[in-house]
Amino acid sequence: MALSRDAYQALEDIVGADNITEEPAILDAYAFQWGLKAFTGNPFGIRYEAVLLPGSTEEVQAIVKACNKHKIKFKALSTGWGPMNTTGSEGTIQLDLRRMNRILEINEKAMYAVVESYVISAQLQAELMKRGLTCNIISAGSNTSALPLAGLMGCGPTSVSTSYSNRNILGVEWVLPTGEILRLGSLGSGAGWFCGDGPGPSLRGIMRGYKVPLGGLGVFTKAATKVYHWPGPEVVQVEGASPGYTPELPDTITAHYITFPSWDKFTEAGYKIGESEIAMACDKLPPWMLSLNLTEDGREGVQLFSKIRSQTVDKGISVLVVVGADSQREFDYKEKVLKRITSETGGEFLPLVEEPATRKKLIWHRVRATTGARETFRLMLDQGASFGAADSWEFAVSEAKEGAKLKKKYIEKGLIMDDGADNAWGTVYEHGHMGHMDELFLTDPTNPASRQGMFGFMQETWQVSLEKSLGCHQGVMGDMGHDLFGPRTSNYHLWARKIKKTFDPNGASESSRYITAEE
Amino acid sequence: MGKKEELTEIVGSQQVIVDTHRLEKLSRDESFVCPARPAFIVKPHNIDEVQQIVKWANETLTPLVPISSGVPHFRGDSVPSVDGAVITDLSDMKKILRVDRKNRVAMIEPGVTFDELCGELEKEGLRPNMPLLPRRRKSVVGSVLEREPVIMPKYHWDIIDPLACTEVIFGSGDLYRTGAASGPGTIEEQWKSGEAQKSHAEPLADWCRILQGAQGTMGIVTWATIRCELIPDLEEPFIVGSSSLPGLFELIHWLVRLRLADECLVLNNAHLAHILAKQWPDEYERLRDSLPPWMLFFCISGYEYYPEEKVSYQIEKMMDIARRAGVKPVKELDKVTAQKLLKIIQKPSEEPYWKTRAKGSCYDIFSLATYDRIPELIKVMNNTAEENGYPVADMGIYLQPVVQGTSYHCEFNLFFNPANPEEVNKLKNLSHQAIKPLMNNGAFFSRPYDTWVDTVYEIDAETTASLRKIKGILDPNNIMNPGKLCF
Ligand SMILES: Cc1cc2nc3c(=O)[nH]c(=O)nc-3n(C[C@H](O)[C@H](O)[C@H](O)COP(=O)(O)OP(=O)(O)OC[C@H]3O[C@@H](n4cnc5c(N)ncnc54)[C@H](O)[C@@H]3O)c2cc1C
Ligand SMILES: Cc1cc2nc3c(=O)[nH]c(=O)nc-3n(C[C@H](O)[C@H](O)[C@H](O)COP(=O)(O)OP(=O)(O)OC[C@H]3O[C@@H](n4cnc5c(N)ncnc54)[C@H](O)[C@@H]3O)c2cc1C
Repeated sequence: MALSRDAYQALEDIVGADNITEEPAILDAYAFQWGLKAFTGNPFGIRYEAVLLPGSTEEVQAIVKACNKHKIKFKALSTGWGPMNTTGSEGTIQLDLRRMNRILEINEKAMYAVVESYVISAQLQAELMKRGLTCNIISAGSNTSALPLAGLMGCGPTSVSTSYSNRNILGVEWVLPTGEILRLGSLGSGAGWFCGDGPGPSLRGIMRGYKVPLGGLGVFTKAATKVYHWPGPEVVQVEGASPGYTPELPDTITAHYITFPSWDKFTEAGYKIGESEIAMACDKLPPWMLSLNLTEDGREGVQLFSKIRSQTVDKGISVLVVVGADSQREFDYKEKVLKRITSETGGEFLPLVEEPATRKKLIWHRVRATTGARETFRLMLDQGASFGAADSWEFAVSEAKEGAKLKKKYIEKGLIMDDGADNAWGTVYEHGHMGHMDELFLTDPTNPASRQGMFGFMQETWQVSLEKSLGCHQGVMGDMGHDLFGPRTSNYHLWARKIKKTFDPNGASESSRYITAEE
Repeated sequence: MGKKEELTEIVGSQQVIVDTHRLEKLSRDESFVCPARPAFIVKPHNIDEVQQIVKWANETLTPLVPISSGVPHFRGDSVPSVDGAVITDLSDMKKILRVDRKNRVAMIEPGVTFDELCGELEKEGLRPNMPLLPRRRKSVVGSVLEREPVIMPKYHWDIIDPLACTEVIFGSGDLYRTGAASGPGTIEEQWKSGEAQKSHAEPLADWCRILQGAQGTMGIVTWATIRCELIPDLEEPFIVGSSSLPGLFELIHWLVRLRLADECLVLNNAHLAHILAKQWPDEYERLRDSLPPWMLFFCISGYEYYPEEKVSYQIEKMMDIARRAGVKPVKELDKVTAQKLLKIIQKPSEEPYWKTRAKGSCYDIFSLATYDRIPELIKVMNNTAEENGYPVADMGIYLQPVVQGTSYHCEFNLFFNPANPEEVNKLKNLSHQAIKPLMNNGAFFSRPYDTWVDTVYEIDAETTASLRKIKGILDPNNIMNPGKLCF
């Protein structure tokens, strides 16, 4: 279904002929998503009708208004890193926001940065570091958008000290599905970007939940995000090539990989590390991912995993802690506390990570979030994730425990790759106040039984979450998922539909990954 | 059956109040909103009754005004805007449903006051992140729903804090639980999985943010979970006096950025003198005149692990920053000790409420702004006060860094005698005249009350339109506190 010539012309008039295309090869490139293949068997989703590259909020607004007029759907993307970027319906155009790539403001003293949609975290963080600051970066990688309204839920390796995107948002500029521009909070009152809430109720409440609306509720063109202190150098010299980057860092930043003898001890340590506020990063990086992070290729990764298995997986549950300080005294204090907590909870430091070269690499992986794809996809297998809701740290651990237990069955049947079963990634947020954990898994794309195994595993994890109150999975997207979880979850789906219906009466913002207005 | 009988059927005759004197009291407060007389006060005991009341209000199209705190009320938000409203007073719902040390959270009903909560939390080694000196009978749920600023900015990650989840009856009469409390499963089932109702967001929305700042226009909250913090093992409070703000702002920036301070706030001399004085006017005036114009107060705290060592390296670092900022932290300033001040602000206000001690009442004008705009806001207020014959020297000013120091709550306290019509009139003019110039100089009225509301909404048509759409979703018959905000 190609666009009518009228519609195409109207869109071309907005962005100019250089910034719109309906070339099939390009449309296919936008329909391609690796992650889709695991679920549908085909990495190509539905083709967009056209791809547009708007260069400003005004252009986005004009496109959105034209879409409402011509009954076309639109869907925005930032870096397009995940399968949620595909459209679920014919007749959709894609707004690729890559021309909107400016950092608009870094307010060092008020600790926020204002970005457009295609500013990536690597770019923002490099600028922030020059001012002794850093930001939350989602674990997908620093190559993804720094906009706290892209991503999926928005946590990352340093969330223990940098929170996560929903809680970092300040002012926002938002082109609503009908084309009006809403400026949240202080921005709407002409006072600047420092607050996204009010006057009165905060419209952040309908803008996103734990997850972003995945393109289904208009286009976010700019947003301010809180930033945090960085105790390292303004410019970090890095040697070597990917994945072996070794940064030059002061001795007052370090990392440890600690394995605890049981889930209970691991949980206890997470609370203690959180409360004592000693960690810059505190994420449950499973031994499988650690191995793939530290090695040059997949084969080496698997070999390393076999080597450290007896020191990690077979002994208990592991966490990676990055400690950073501005002074030697602060550093000594934090290290002393970490050692004490480790000894109180029976933890053991992994010797490999105590080696300075390895340690430096790992610090960079966490702070810079450079390993999202490598730690998950390197083996060229199909990869997926389950669970991933957030609440208390104890709750997060329940997700991981349940995930590992269920996965073991599938590993034993040979349906899911043996990653040690416990391959949950997650992190403590905000110095122990919250946490989340998602259970990752790998299946063999050349083996149909393995794919079936994956579906079986996913289904079981959903069922278990409903039965044992383990939250609404991060992967629950679209009507089918929400219609399953909603009735057991205060009917949140019905209320979300009301938002969708009220703010997008023409259904113009393509929302198959969010929720549609259809009951 | 009349309305009174219908309500009596829901809550029992003891719980429907028609006493003219009490109704009269709730028809006005310390603000300048026009008085409107409520028809009854109804005091539900539990969520079932609340839901029945809301459903009844929808059927009879009776306005409901929820309140949770005891008198005095200040901001006009709990005074009905229309006649014939039913005040839904939740102060009898007083249960502290859970205190969870490990997850630093408490689940409480709306009638629980700061006094009551502090006592229960203390038993578990916890404390709330409190607003500055709330009145004894202030409802904690009421306070967090109002987005009142809290005194420990480093734990204020997001403006929603310390509010986490809620149970609410929307204006439509529907029961909903916000955040992780939404499910799957009942609250008890959630506890079994380790969930503690800490995450305020549901998968697709964050309805709690809509309830907050709504002044009771969206629904009635029947419990809420509140983030708490640990009681420190060691506390080292400091005061920094200064004749100007820039040096203090510089120090505060680093105190928050490096997570050095727990409590951290700025008061002017009139404000602190009002807090400390017991006798008027002598003691108050003596204090006011002896104190420096500005005081930064903060506390460095140590917890379970080696508290002395932590506090010691943090003090060293703080002193270094203070030197560079050209300010001098001390333990005692003009006979006010930091320790005494710490103890005062860690509790609710003594009775009588500190804001009413001097002249009987107090009118507050507050907004959010970044640090660099605050000197201009102070100038605007000084000028407006002078123009209206209000003594500038007696105007309290309270500056509270919020959301990890991204902005400041900037509050001006105008103490006045409510029995003096001339003073009241002057203040009415003053408050009316101040709002626009404050906005023009960088103030954002995130929580507009009283007569400021129109000025604030006037300049943001799209926010106003969007809020009205949401109001239509949650309260289609507009029974919840009609006439407030932009509704
Ligand atoms: C290995 C791996 C790890 C991951 N880890 C995380 C993680 O830790 N945390 C996390 O949150 N996610 C994670 N994800 C999920 C997801 O793939 C990414 O969050 C996301 O795709 C990152 O890219 P982006 O931020 O540039 O957003 P995009 O991929 O461009 O977009 C994400 C979604 O948001 C919408 N969107 C993007 N920009 C806008 C805009 N300006 N206006 C309106 N809608 C918009 C898009 O339509 C899309 O539905 C991970 C994915 C992978 C592959
Ligand atoms: C969001 C996302 C989802 C993905 N999902 C999956 C998935 O589910 N399953 C899957 O199998 N893959 C997936 N991939 C792809 C996968 O991540 C990569 O192909 C894999 O990680 C290889 O990465 P690498 O770091 O080992 O190699 P890279 O360094 O990225 O190199 C890529 C390829 O080029 C080759 N190469 C590198 N340097 C040279 C050179 N100098 N000369 C010649 N060849 C060279 C490498 O051998 C490799 O084959 C996904 C990628 C993304 C971004």
